[in-house]
Amino acid sequence: MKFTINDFEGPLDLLLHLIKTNKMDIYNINLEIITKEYLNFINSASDLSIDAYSEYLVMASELIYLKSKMLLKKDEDLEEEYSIFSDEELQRRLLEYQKIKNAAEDFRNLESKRNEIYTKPPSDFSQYRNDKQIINGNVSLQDLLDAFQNHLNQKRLEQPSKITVVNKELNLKERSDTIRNILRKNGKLRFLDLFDDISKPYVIITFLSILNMSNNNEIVIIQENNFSDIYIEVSEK
Amino acid sequence: MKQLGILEGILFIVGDEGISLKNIASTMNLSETEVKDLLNKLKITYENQDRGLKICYLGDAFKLTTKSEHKEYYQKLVDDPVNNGLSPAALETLAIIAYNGPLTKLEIDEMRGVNNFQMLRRLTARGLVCISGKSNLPGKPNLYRVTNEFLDYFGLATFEDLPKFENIKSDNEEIDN
Repeated sequence: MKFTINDFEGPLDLLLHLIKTNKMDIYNINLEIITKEYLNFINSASDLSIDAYSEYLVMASELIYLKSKMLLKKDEDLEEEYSIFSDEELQRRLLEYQKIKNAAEDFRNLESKRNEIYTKPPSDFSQYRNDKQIINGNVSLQDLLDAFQNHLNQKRLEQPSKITVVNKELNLKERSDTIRNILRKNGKLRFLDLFDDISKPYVIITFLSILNMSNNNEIVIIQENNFSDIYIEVSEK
Repeated sequence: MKQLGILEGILFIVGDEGISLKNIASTMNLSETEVKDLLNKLKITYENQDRGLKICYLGDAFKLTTKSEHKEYYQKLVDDPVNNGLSPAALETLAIIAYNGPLTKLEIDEMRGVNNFQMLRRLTARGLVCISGKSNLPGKPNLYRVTNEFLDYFGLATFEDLPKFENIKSDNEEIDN
């Protein structure tokens, strides 16, 4: 059987093949034979891209380096220090690569076994999704109105708060007088109605006024039930 | 039993994405033990010869699949019956990453003896490999690992199911992105 360079996944693959065909052991490679065969093989490969070819050439140069090292008289200390590529390193890489090749074979088997069963992509629900709000019958007109009201409130809060350049002087006495006037006119007053302006000073002064008036027994504060509205009335006394 | 039907429907809908025990439990308002029980029951009904589906635990999720003994019929339906699967090079690269990952492209290159730039791109595009973070090595290169889709592709449930293989090296410290 004749192999071409395209049958191999890279220089390590080719080396493993050459070692096997020469019935050698990875731990005991005859560098002379392997280097010769390796060079012959890549020299005959003409249809390889320059990138792929260069990868084979790197290995070729490393093999030649190893071979030359073998032929020369060894100066151990120097060798150890300068050798970037030793025969142990070559051995290690070949062993490692062989393990990976075996593992790849395992994966090939797993792959073909998995290909025996079929799955389907997740169901696409987008065709059932509707841009319109789905009314499921549980919604009353009141809910709708509430929702609209909420929306309006939200919109109102989203607006930048009004900035008054004129600094309105507020004082406790003035505000208390205003509240007294309203109470005199209406008799009873919803607590929240006093906060028609939500600027901070106004709220604080109003609140203080109420507390102060209550403390003076001018007014009573009434709440019928938990969470119901709070009312203010003129005290009987 | 109604719940078995619901479970079957859920598995049908999620398809090859699969679904976790936890997710089934919260969807059906059941405890995980109850779901396990249901899954086992459904599994048993599927074992019957007159059923065409089965439940598989693949890539860390429960999925509905066809049975392998019926493959010849389905293969007739596929336009391209010659399915060669991944190339040997892709399998090698995946094996390296599966057993030694997360690791950098350079480390993969070294083990395969060739440049894997295009290969990693293709495998990432297929969803079999993903970038899991950056290495502490100079230049902070990307670290690659295999995905749950990888597990499913090879019919594996979890990483413990990988074929036994001597670990070569995994001394990378991963930094989270």
